[in-house]
Amino acid sequence: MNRIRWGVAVALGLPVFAFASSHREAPNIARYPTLDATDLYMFNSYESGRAGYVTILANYIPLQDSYGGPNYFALDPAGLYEIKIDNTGDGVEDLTFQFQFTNTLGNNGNGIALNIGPTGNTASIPVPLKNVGMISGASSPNLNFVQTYTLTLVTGPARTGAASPIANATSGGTTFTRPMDYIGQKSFGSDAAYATYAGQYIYNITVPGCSGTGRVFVGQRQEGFVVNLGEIFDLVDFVPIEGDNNPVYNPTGTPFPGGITQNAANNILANKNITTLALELPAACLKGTGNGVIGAWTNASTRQVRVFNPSPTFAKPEVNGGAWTQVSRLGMPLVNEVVIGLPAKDAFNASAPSGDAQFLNYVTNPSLPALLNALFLTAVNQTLGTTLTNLAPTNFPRTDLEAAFLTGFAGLNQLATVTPSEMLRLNTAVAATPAASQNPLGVAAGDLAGFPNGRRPGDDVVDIALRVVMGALCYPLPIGANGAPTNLGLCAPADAPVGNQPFTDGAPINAGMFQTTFPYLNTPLPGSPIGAQ
Amino acid sequence: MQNPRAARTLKLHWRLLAAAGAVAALVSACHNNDDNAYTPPPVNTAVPFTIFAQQAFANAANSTPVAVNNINFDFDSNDDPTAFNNLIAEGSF
Repeated sequence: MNRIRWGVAVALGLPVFAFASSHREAPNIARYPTLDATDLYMFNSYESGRAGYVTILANYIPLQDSYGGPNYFALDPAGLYEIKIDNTGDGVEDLTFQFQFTNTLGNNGNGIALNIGPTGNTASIPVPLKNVGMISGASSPNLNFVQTYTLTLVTGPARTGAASPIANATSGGTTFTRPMDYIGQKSFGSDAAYATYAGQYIYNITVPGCSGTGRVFVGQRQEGFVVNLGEIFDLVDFVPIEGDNNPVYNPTGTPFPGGITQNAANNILANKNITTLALELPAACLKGTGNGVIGAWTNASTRQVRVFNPSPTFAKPEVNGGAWTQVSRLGMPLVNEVVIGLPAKDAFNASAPSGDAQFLNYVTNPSLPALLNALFLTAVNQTLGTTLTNLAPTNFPRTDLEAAFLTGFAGLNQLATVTPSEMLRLNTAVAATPAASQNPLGVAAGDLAGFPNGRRPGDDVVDIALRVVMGALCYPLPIGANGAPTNLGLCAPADAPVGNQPFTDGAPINAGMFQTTFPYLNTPLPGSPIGAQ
Repeated sequence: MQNPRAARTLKLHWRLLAAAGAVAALVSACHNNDDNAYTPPPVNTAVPFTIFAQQAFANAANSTPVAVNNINFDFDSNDDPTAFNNLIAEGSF
């Protein structure tokens, strides 16, 4: 059938599935939020005057409430945060950008203290807070905690390649500082003042072996991922198909009675912050000798052995030793949420793209469409009086999903050598689309500079992923000349009975919701006053 | 007269030293340059966790993590609060 009319969905009591890009997606990494990668973005920079640059944003520490003081959200000084680039297609990193953090107390490392007690008999007492007054810069005497970091480029495999420090292009120094999280408007003056304060920590950088200047920023941002998270967790407690003729999400289709409609209130993450590691680099420095397509993923690792200090100090709450052991991995959004099975999620987090053959069955025989089918098939048939036997695509193995998740699409974002491996792939030769012209449905809507050709902050990866897993690639896409419908030849409409439907979670997103300059993600929400979150 | 705590520690260290060679060989056997490969221990021997941890601390950060799925650990130092004192004193943060 060409168009299914969905009525009220009936939950069938089946297992739920997570649908946050990578927020607390695996049992073990949920125990270590500071090492938990949540989203990776990579796109050809669309900031004015930055053509020829690639921006990469790796987000960590999920679901931050902006009022989470007094410690807020420092990255892990015992962690190793990496952004890896494969520019040959063998599934092995050719370039790795490593971030390592150091915590320092204010007052030259001693911590800010106040003299407490009667005159002549005072005691110097360290304060319990991270600031004792307004903050305007790293050298502010009121700031009681500073997190600095080093940035290293490794050429070749991350553990055995040649490592070189990346330097501040202005000072030549190799230590960078991240801004304090947005404690609140009283501590920083206003949202605009915080934006100015944080902007001081965007550094121009000199990258070894790279002509041209890049940029780096690490700091708190407003969560840019948009999703109807709670409802999805709750057995998809809505009809996940567009209920009106929204010009972006359902421009040519028929509204579905009872289907969800686009509403910003459906984005439950709107009041959360995140911590971003942001890089902007000349594309020429990333693409190597390949075909101009690069693959990227981010990892977090910690040392294999941790010994808790029974007499902890600020500097030494624990001791870590041994080999770096990877605990988080993120390339394409949603893979470890809705593709990899629960028993293997932490194994996926510890794995490398070169070993992805072990996860192939999760892609070729995905469980998510079957879960959606189980949740909604009976309701659809009861409501419509139809006799559909299956809503899920039936083309096995799902070569359409292999292309989407593991190989990229020939002629668009496939690396020179094709090794099935999960990473975010970007063709650096595809000109960036200006923010005002971007389509949040990316390639599926004819915007070739969007997801899955890289990922921009304004791309609606939830809706794209929903549509792809339900068989959107079995139908022609408007990617031919002048947007002509083009059949990818990966599967046929008959394989995907609802593959042409405008699946959605009802949480809209677009490039206009974000700033158009590096680091693109918005200034974080303040911890106070109440109501500003 | 010998300090009882020192004697206990010495006894522990003696036992651990005796096991160190075998553990080192086991840990070495678990190393592999291929991240996706794993060589199981040759025998089902209980490995003192203290020695294992000390051996891990001796590894370079850029070495390969030791696979642990097929190792049976012996936590014989669980009741000794001083078992890792040397690591805390000398380890890096």
